[in-house]
Amino acid sequence: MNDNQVQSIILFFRLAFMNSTLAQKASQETHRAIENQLKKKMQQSFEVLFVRQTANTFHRLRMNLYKTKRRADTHLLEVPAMNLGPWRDFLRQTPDEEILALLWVHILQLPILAVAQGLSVTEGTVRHRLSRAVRILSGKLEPLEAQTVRAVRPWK
Amino acid sequence: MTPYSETGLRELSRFHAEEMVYDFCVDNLDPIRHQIVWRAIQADENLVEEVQRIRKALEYCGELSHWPVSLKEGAAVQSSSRSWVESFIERTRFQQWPAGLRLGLESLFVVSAIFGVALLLPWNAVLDQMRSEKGSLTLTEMRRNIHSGMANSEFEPNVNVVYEDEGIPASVIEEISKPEAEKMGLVPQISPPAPPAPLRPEVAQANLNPTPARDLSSIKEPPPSGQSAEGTWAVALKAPPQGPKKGKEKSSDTTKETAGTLPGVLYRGTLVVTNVEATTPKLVSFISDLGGRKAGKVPIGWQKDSGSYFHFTIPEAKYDELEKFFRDYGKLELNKETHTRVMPKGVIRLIIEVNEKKSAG
Repeated sequence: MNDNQVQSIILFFRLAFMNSTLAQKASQETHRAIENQLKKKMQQSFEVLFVRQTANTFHRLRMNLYKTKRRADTHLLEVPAMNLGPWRDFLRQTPDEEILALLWVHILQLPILAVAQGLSVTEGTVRHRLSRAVRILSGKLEPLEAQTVRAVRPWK
Repeated sequence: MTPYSETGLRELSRFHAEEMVYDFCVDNLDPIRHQIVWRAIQADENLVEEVQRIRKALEYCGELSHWPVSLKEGAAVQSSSRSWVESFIERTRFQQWPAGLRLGLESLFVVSAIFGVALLLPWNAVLDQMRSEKGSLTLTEMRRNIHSGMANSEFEPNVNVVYEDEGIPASVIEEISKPEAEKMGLVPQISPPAPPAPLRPEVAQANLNPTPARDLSSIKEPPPSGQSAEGTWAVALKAPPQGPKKGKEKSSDTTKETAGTLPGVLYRGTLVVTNVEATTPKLVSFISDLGGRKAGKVPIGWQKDSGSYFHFTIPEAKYDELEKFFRDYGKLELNKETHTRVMPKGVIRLIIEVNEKKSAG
């Protein structure tokens, strides 16, 4: 695996858990699992393996996030010049399948076909999850935009 | 052309337009649908705002995708996911070493591992375990005091020892049961519960020192009928016998008791019947029902030229019943003789020859 692929794994779990410790652990497990799969020389692309392994790791470790009470906001990950509030709201109120679909397609830029093959679902299912996830995220972004507009134009 | 529109095209409903806004934003529609959705969006302000919101959400996702990940984090993930062997090999650049050095180190490692296992393994315990697993199997136990010829009441009750048949030529015995004859002479047969019997000294000695094959020619040919191989004598007994009841002895004139100095007892007699062939199977089944077992090498009721031969042992308590049954078929004459062979307590040995009644005249 090259560095870009490793970085994509790290970014995925960083955004999925919003917890640096859990993200590092999940990244290590996923990296090891994908390496083992690649050593077996299975006739599957990296994207399909990536989707499958990240989904498995996410579902397995997702429960740890709530069991140990290590919530997403206990280990704050700050990005310069970026507001992660809407994203955290989005993570709390969105089903897991839609979060993962958004992460794979619109953040990591994976093809929808690879995501569908990795999840063993149809492309229409993936698109449906994406549309719902984007609508929810857009709803989280709206109040921020509204506040920004009021601040810029106080006379309105 | 549909009957519900002027241009022949179905108009897009608001519901469908809302559902297709996302596909419109990501350019996932074919040109015709793209134009139709665009027309529907332009006609509705809410749909315009929806499109703007979705595009902002997609831009936000784009910004998140540019979140920088340092190379250190990537290296940390890669290094921690490797096993310690792989990380050690990578650090020492083991693959770049000379081939001879690499092979030498690998062989040294293997030899050290084998040497360590050989040193640490408890070989004594392993060998003891292997020996115990092979084990030894005890089939039967025999006591050595039977050499004296005493009645061995402690003999294994389930062991039926086979003796030589008296009055049967050795060649005949050899002919009819050659494999059995060789085996029986060496090892006592284990059969269902049967009256125990002491061993002859020769047999006992053979059992204690088993030989692979026994030469039947060494067995002496018994003398003609009427005399025993060991030269026993039919002598009147000094003391009354304990087996059969005294009351019945008076009534049975045909049973003659003899006494002698030898310790063992043998009941020898003849039975004269009208039809030997028909009577023999009945006698055999009756003896088997009483718990009788063959005492010689030939089976009970063995067919001779002139009749059938019965050499068997039965419980002493069944003697009267046997005598009564035999008398129902013909004239029975039994002689009680002494013999060197001693049977266990409660067991008697009988040799009865069944002959056909000769027609008078």
